[in-house]
Amino acid sequence: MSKNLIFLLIITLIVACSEKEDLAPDTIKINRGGIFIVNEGNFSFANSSLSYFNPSNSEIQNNLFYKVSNVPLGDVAQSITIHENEVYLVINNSGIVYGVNRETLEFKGKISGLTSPREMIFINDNKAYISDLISTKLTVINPASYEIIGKIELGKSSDCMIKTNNKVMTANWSAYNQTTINNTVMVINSDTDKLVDSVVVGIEPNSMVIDKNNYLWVLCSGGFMNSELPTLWKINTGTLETEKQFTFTNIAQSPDNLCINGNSDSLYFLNNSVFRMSIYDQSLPETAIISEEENNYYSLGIDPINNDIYVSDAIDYNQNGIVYRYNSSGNYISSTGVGIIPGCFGFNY
Amino acid sequence: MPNVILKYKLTALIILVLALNLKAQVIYDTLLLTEFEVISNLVDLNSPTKVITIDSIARKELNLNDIGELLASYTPVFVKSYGKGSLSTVSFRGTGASHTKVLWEGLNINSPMLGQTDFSLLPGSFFDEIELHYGGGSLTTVSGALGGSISLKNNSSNNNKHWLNVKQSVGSFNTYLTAATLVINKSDFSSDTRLMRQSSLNNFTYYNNALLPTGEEMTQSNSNFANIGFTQQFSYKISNNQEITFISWNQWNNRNIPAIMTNIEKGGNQKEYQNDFFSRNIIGWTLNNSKTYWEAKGAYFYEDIDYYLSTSDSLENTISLIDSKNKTENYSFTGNVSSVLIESLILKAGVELLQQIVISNNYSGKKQRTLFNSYISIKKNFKNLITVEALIRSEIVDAEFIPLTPMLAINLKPFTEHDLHLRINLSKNHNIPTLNDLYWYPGGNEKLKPEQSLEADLSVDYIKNLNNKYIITLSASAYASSVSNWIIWLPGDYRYWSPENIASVYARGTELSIRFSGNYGKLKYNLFGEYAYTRTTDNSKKSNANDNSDTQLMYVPKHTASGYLNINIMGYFANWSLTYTGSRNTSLNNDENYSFTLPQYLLNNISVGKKFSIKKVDLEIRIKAYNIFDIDYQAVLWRAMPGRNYEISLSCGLK
Repeated sequence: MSKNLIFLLIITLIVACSEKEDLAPDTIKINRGGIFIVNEGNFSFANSSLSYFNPSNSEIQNNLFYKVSNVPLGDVAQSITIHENEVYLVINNSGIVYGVNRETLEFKGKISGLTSPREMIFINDNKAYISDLISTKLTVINPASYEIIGKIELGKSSDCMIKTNNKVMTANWSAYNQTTINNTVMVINSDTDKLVDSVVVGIEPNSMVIDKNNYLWVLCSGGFMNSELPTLWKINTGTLETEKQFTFTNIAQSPDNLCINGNSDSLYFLNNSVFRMSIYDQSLPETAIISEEENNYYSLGIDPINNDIYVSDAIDYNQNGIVYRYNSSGNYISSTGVGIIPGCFGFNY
Repeated sequence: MPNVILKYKLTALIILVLALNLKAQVIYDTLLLTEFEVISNLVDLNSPTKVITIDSIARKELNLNDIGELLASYTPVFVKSYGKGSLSTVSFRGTGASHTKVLWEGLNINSPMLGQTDFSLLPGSFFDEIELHYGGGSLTTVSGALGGSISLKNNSSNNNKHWLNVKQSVGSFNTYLTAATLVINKSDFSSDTRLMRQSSLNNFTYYNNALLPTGEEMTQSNSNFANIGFTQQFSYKISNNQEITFISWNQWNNRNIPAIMTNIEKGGNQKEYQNDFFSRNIIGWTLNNSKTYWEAKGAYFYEDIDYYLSTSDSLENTISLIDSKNKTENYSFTGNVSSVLIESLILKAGVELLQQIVISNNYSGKKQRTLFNSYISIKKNFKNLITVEALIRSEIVDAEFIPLTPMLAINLKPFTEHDLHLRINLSKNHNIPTLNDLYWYPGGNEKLKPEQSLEADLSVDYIKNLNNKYIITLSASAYASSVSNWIIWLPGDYRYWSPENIASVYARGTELSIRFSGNYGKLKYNLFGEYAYTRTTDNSKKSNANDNSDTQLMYVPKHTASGYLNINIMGYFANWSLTYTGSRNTSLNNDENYSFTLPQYLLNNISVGKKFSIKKVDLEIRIKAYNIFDIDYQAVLWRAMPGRNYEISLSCGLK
C-alpha cells in the first residue's frame, strides 16, 4: 500500500511538472482612433505592459506587447511616442527604447545603453531627443536607424519635453545628484543641438503644455518634501518671460499631469481630483470636474479630437489599475481594467 | 483486531489524501530526516506542538551547505531565492519572510531593520541541528513568528570526543567552498572551532527571454560573491551540573547584485553590491539540578550592512549614487528555568530584555527600542495518553504593553500499542513592526500597530516499524490562520512609500509527508516525499477593487512538493532529490501571463559518492549534479538561474 502511495506521489509530481510550452506569439491589428495605455508596472519587477482601448466599442486589449513578442515590455515603461508608422516605448529602468510597428506592434528596433530614459520627442524623421532622469545629457538619436548620434550636455537631469519651432523645452524635475535647485525649464536649439537658455519656474516642474497662443504652461509640484507651494506658470515662448504665475494654497498638495484639449485653450491637471481651467482664467479652479473620492488617480489624458477625459486609477500600485473615461464636461462614460500602474496615454489618431 | 481497524482507518486516510491530491490540495510533511537506525530517537512525538528536527546525519547525507536549499528539499516551507549567493528568504504557511523567526542558540537573529533573515548567509557547517516549529507552536521558542520559527544549534559539546573535519568542494562557475571544524573535548573544557570560506564567480549562461530581439544566450554578470566566517565556542564545566559557555559567530559577506534580465542593457556603468559584516556573541551559564534546569545568557549582536548602487558617465564621474550604510546593535539578557514540579508536570518560564539600536543613513538620527519579553508554560502528561501544554507570552515594547499571546496545545495518543499521535494547537500571536517600518526616512510610520494572528492547527503523525525491516512515517496537518493588521508598504500622496496596517490575510492549507526507510540485505534506503497546499488571500477592502479577494498573495505557490531517494551500500551512496515549485503570482493580478504568473518548475539533483577510511582518517568523496535536466526556470521574476551544474567534494574526518 505504502509503496503504491509513494509511486503515486512521484507520478503526480512528474505529471504535474511537464514543461511549459512556448506559446506562439499572437498577431494583432491595431486600428487607429484608439488610445494606447502604458502601464508602468512595479520598479524592479519588470511587469510593465501595453494596453489599447477602442473608444468606439469600449473594447480593451491588455498585455499587447507580450502577446505579440513573448517578451515583457520591461522594467517601468515610462512613456509612448507615436510617429508615422512606428510607436516608440521608453522603458525607464531597463535603459532602452523599443520601436514597434504602429499596426502590428512587431519589433522594429531598439536603442539601448540609456541610463534612465523618460521621454522621447521627434525633431524630424531622422532626429529625436531622449530625456534622462539621472544623466545630465540628452541623448540624440536617429529613430530611423536606431542609432545614438549625439549627446547634449545640460548640466542637469531632464524629464518632460515639448517643442515649438526650433526650441525644445525640457524640465529639470529631479533634484537628484545636483547642487542647484530643480526649478528650471531648459531650452535647446534643435537645429544646433545646443542648450541655449533656461527659465526659472517653481520647484519640481513635472508637466508642460503649449497653448493655442504659443504660451508654455508649466506645472510645478513644489517638491516631494513640500519645499514650497505648488505653482502653475505661463511663459512666453518667444521671450521666455513669465507672463503669469498661479500659486496653489496647500503646500501638502502635489498637482501634476498638466494636459491641454484639442483646441489648446483648456488646461486639465490632477490635484488628487481632476481640475480644468481656461487658458484665460485669472485664478486656479476651486472645484474639481472629476472628484477622486476613494480612487487613487495617477495619470491623465485628454482626447485631442473629442476632448474626452481619460484618468487612470493605480489603486494600491500592486494590482491592475483602472482607466475611467469621462466626456469633456466630466460626465462618466465608462471604465476599463488595464495593467499595473497605468501611467501614460498615447492617442493614436 | 485493533490493528485491522487502524489499517482501515489509515487506508481511509490515505484514500482521502489521494482524493484530495487529485485536486492537488494535500501534502505530506517531513517528520524524520535521520538515518534508519536512529530514526525514532530524534522526534519528540509526545510534543504537543509540531516540531521537525533536521539533524546533522541527514544533512551530511544530503551534503547541502545552503540551509535554504536544505529546507526547500525537506520541509514544506517556501524558499524565495534570488539566485545562488543572493538574498534568500523562507516563509511558512503562506505568511511573509518577516513572519519566520530564526533563532541561533535560542536568540533571534532576524534583522531588527528588515525583520527577516537572509538564509544565503547561514553556512550549513556551522550548525548541528535545525529545528522547525510550525505556526502557533513557535510560541514555545519566540513571539512574532506568525508563520513559524527555525532554531539553529551547535551541540558538539554533547559528545566527549575530539574531532577534526575538513571539506573542500569545487563546482561549476568557479565556485569554491572550504569548511573546517575542530572540536576538542576534555573532561571539564571543550572548544569548537568552525571556519568557512565560500566564493563563486557565478557567471553561468542562460537564455534571455526578457529582451528583444530574442534568442540570445547570455552570461550572467556582476553576480560573484565571497563569504568568510568562523564560529568559536568554549565551554567550561564549573561542576558536574554547572557550565559556562561562550560562543562567537563572525562573518564577512561580499556580493555583487546582478541586474534583472530586462535591465542588462541599461547604460551608466551601473555598479550594485552589498557588503555585510556581523558578529554575534553569547555568554551563557547553565545549572542542571535533578529536577530543575536554569539558564542565563548575555548577548551582543552587531551587524553592518552597506548597500551601494551607482551609475557613472563615460568619464567615470559618478552621476547617481545610493550608499546606504546601516549599523545595528542588539544587547540582550535572557533567563530561563524549567522544572519538573510533580510527576509529569513541567513548568517553564523565561524573561528576555533586549535593546535594539540602529544607526542608518536611511533614518533621521539614531533609533532604538527596548523590548521586555516573558513567558510561562505548563506541560502535563496524563497517563501517557494526553499531553497538554498551555503557554502565555507577554511583550512590552518601550514600556508599552502588547496584548498577551496565549497558546494551547494538546497531543493525544489514542492507542498505547501504536505510535499514532493527534495534535491540536490554538494560538494567538503578535508581530511588532520592524524598525524600517517605523523609522525609514521618508515614509516610516511610527503609528503602526503590531500584526496579529489567530491560528488553529491540527496534525496527525504515525510511525510503524515493521519487523525491524522497514519503518514508515506518515504525517499530515491542516491549519487556518487569520492575520490582521498585516503591514504593507504603499505609496502615499507624496510619492514616497509608507507602511500601513492594511491587509487582512487569511492563510490556510495542508502539509503531508511520508517517509519510508529500510534495509535490504546490505542495502540501506530512505525514500521521502512531502507536499504542501497553501492558500493565502487578502480580504481587506483595498484588495477588492478588482475583486482580488480570491487572488493568491504574491510569491506564495499554492503547491510545493519535494522528495528524495537515498541508498547506501558498502560505503557507496547515491541520492536523487527533487523539488517542485508550483506557479506563483508576482502581482495581485489574475492574468495568466508569464509576467504575472511564474510557471511551475521541477528541479532534480543527484549525487553519488563513497565513504572509506585510511588508517584513522575517514574520507568521503562525492560528485553532485544540480538541475540535471537543465531546466530553464525563474524562482523570482526575471532573475536568471543556472542550468545544469556540477560540484565535486572531498571531506576528511579525524577522530
